[in-house]
Amino acid sequence: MSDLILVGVNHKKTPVELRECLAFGDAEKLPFIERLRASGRIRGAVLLSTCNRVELYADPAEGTSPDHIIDAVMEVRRFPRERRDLFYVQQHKEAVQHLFRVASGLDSMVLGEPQILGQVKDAYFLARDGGAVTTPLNLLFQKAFHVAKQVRTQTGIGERPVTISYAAFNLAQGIFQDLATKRILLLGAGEMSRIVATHFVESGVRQVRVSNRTYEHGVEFARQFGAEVVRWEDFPKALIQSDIVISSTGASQPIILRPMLETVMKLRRWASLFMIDIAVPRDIEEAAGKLDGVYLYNIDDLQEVADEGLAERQKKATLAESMIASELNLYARFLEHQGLSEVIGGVMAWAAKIQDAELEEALRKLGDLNPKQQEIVRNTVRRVVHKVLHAPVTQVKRLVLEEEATHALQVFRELFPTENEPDRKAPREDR
Amino acid sequence: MTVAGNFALFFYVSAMAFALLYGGFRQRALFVLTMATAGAGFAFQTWQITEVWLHRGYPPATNLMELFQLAAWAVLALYFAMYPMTRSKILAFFLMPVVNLCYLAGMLVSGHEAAAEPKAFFFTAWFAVHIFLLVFGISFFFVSFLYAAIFIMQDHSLRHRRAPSHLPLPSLEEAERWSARLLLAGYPLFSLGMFSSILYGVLHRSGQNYRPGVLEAASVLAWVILGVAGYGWLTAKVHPRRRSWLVVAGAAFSVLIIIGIIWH
Repeated sequence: MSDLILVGVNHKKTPVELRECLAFGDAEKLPFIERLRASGRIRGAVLLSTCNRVELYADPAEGTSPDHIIDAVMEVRRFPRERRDLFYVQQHKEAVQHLFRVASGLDSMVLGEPQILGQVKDAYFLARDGGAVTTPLNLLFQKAFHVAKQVRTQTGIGERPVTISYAAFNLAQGIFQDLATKRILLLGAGEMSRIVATHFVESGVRQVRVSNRTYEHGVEFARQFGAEVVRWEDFPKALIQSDIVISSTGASQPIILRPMLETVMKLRRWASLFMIDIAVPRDIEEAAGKLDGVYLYNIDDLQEVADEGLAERQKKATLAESMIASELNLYARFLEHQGLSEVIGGVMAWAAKIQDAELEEALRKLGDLNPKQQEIVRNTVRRVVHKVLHAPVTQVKRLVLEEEATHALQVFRELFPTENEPDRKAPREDR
Repeated sequence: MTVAGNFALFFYVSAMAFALLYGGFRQRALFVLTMATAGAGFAFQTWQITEVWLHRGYPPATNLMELFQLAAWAVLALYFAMYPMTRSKILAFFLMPVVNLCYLAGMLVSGHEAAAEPKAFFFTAWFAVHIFLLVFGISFFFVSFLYAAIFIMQDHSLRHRRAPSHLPLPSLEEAERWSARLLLAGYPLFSLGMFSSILYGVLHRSGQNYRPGVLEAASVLAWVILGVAGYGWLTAKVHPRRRSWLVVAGAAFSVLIIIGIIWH
């Protein structure tokens, strides 16, 4: 496996106030990597900085240890020296496995969340465009994207919602074809209501209206979404033109009763109405949810959907982990193959160089040979060289590929020089 | 069955296998294979239909096997025509087993042989028009029924506070829209197909092609129920869930039509 070094902190051990000390903005990432490269510590790196983690995947220069990289990070960031223990370090296979898990969302705070893959890609592209991605890093990240995609599509880990806002959004997707064209009505200005509405707005819903008992609070709340404000006494009329209603008022009695909603539904010509009642006590009478075309969910319903989703994701995570383990082995084999091809190619080139030199010398000494004779001599020497090398090359291939004896490659490398080091063990010529 | 028919069967069975695998794994490659094999099967079946038609001089729709197989062909033709608009990959998961069922059911029921003494009616343009309008009408109803069934499944799931199912089903809105469109498009075809046969019987006073029985009763009942569902959609006076149930009921009566054909 490559000499990869990973150093980082994440949400598991490091509190947010320390994570934010280490966070890198996009504009800061490349200069930092460049600084490390200029110091001769690394050949290249990818820096991933999200709200839950800061990780540097480095292709180290010879002699560089993880401590050197941590020192470099702490030098440019005001991170308390006594909290150095919060950094985790992984190398070689473990670092590769970590990246595969991160890209697949298995190491995320919300298990299986999809955004992290996009963030890893952004970090990679930024480094690549800045010329900081070396060949080993390029291979590693391409593989990580492939693994993450496989995990996501084959296990479906990200499909079920695990948060209340995502649960609400997911349910809405089951009702409406194009959420961007739907209209949301927010009743009340509660915090939970804001979180759920934000999820919808960030996902493309453009038409938002807010109705609050205190008009001024409603105006202030509406400003966050660029929403229109509806006077409290007009909200029943606004229901007719809305597709999604998120209610979180502080009312002690339900504000939407079945008869009111019956009238609304008739006027809506039975077009589906998705209602989220986050208030406690509830704002919408339970019986109203039984009407045709009304899909009513309270906070417990949404939590239940989210819990089911989490349980489902945890089941799928087990499958995902085994997929990652198998992909990790494949990747290790791939790198070994790549190393093997490089070494064998180098040895063959070294042998060919000696063969050509000796042939020219022999032909010069032999004097007047006709072209046919010259061809016979050339072919004979070539066959001898190939036959001599055939046995060790076949053996080393078998040992590495079939018996996974990676040390065999190292021994082979020691025994035979390559094209670039022809004089290392080349036999002295007797002239 | 002709050589082309055997090839069609082979490709349809392969397409069904890929469609079912797609439902499980949802890999794009599986869907591409589903479409490719279904397309190959469709091409072979079209060849078979043309070959038999040219040989006999009338469309191969005079016995149960041929009718079932023609229905399978029409349903698939409709899916291919709709796909660029719906982009619904999961529909193939529901549709391919039915295509295969129709194709194979046709082989399992009795009455494979061509009519020994074909009726004069078979050689008229009326017959070709009657059969193709009816078969396409039924195929529109059938796909409309699939969407209505999807609507009911989604509605049930949402009412029971469950997240949408593992299968990426279309949303309620999409299912309802397509169910309505197909019903409203299929209704005139089915009506014309049904009445063209009656009209021919009346015009030629033969009485042979118009005998009221289970077939006609079931056809008229299906026609009325689907008409009510279509009216509900056009006027928006009936809730989508009830309209979907009406489509399902209409489809059930369409099955009765097939049973009627067996008795006929």
